[in-house]
Amino acid sequence: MAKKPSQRRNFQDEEMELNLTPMMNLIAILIPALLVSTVFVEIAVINVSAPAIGTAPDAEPPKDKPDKPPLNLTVTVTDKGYTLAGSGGVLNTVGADAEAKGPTIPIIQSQVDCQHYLGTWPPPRSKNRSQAKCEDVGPRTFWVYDRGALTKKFLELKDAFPEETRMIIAAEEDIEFEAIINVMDSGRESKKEGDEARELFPEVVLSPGLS
Amino acid sequence: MSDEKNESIPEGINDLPDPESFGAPSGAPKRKKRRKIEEPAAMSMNSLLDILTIILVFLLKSYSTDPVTLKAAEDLKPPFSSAQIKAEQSTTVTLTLNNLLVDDKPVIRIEQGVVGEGDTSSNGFLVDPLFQALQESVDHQKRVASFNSSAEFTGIITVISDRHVPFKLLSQVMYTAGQAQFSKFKFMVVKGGQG
Repeated sequence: MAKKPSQRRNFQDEEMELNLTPMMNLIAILIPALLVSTVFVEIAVINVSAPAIGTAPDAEPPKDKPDKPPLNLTVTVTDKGYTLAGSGGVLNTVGADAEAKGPTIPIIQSQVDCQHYLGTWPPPRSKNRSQAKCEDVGPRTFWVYDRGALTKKFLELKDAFPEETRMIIAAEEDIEFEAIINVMDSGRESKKEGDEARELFPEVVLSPGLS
Repeated sequence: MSDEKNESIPEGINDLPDPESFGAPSGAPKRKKRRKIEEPAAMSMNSLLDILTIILVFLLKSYSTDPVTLKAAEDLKPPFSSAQIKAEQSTTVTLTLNNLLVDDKPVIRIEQGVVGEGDTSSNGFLVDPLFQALQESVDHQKRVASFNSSAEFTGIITVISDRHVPFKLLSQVMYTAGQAQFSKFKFMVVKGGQG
């Protein structure tokens, strides 16, 4: 029966609100799950070849002229420093006389920003273990590898042998992975202030034994 | 005249009524004027949903871009490096001071970065359990490659290693992987080198 307009006010509202509960459930569960599993670190990789112990060596034909002998630049990492050698012989300690029998670039004591080494010591750890670990951010003195001198040496070698791109890295048994990555970093390219990055020895070969 | 004819009409009927007689007796709850129960005002969810949807889409997008994800564990902290090459999908070996894993499955427990004597052979370079696990992975990949011509066996292995792992363990792992026919190694590092 048709009702008078004044009697139509008991209508229930036809328009219902969208039931958001399932959608909110989804969001309330997915967002914390994704937040927990998100890792805010960026990953990169370094290509390394090891023909000495691998079965199939990298099939790269030598690009340099055949009459130039390969340099075979070898960096040996010990807990006393870096020793550089090439096919011409072992490079002697920088700044010392020819008779000295030490690493080419010995470790130095220097101020280190603890931010990268929280909870541990910077490499070479065997030398730094006697001190307290890096607890707070801030500079502290440790024995560290002289990466600045290493880069300088690499630049000199690159100037002398501009077509060489290969670097062999060997190390003592207890040298840590981080120290080796540091050598690879120093040898990959050099970034001088104002100049562009210069590629040094990006091809890395890891050698298992000691020289 | 009205008094004589209508005796039933009480006196004072034309008087103004007493207002208090209309209301409920005092002490009882007063009725609200409007009969309809008032609804609490519904909160408008539109803007909240906008924000949450955008956050969800962003997290979904950033969750799936990296094929190799790093499990944030106390004993697995790769060193920082200035390397820029992107990681790719491949077999992985994870080295920590306490464990060796192949493709996220534990293979062997080790003590402080040194593999036990009983697990090595061939001059102490080959790690047997690791060798077996790697060979299984290689066999699996080669079987897949025989069916699917686009998925050939590449021989690439990604090494995810904690920064404290000693070089000896690293060379043992590389030798073992080499014996299992992996010839190309990629070391995983975290971007952010000191330069």
